[in-house]
Amino acid sequence: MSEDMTLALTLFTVGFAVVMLGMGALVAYYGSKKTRNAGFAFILIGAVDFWYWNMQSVAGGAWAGVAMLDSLLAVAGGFAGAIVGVIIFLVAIIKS
Amino acid sequence: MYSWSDPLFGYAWNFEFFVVAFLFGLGLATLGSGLFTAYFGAGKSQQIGFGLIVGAVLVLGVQYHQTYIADPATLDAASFRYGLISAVAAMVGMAAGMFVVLFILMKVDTVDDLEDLDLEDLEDLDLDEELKKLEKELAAEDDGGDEAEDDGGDDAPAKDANEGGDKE
Repeated sequence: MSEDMTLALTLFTVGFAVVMLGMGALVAYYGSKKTRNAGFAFILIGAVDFWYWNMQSVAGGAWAGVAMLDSLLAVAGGFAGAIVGVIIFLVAIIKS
Repeated sequence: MYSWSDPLFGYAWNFEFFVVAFLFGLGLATLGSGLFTAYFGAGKSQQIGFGLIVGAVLVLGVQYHQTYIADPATLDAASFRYGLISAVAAMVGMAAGMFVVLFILMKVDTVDDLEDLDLEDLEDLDLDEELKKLEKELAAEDDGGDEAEDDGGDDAPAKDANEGGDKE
């Protein structure tokens, strides 16, 4: 597998896990009964996803060749840029 | 270019990834929201949408210029490629996660409160009877209220009018 494809797979896994953990925490906290159980299931899926990422990259698996820490830095930058973009959008809409 | 050796982890962080991905995140988010607003908005909102699209094109264009056209280049071409791949892959991963969460929540019967509701009581309910009971209760309250609050004030004008009429 090419390095670019490995990087894309790695970041896909990280993005998926972040959303599953975040949404799972929200659903488990604010939901009740079945919704709460679904939230715990999301958290479990996110944890398994993170464990798989750890096994493949940090622990020296198939994705070890990718500069994982720099990629995480890239994700953090992407998040920050997206948040700034959304803030610009909201300010433009509210001020109009 | 913008690397920092971390003594704690023993790792040289390449902050150019952060800058590149930040610009990609800013550009793509602004472009997406601008396209959305320009398509669905009207009047002033639509103009804002076009403005956001222009801003996004400027951000992405300057980033491309500083990577491939400017001499000497400010940003590394490899960082540009890796940053783009990282940003797009992470966004696709997050979108997939959101889709899975929403799909499961829609499939799971999450309306828990209806289970606590005793529907048999509602089926046996006679609405006409309940309405009559309510009307009776309201009428009784009105009567009771009039008697309790009757201090003669309501009758006073009529009495005064009669008295006035007699005097004339």
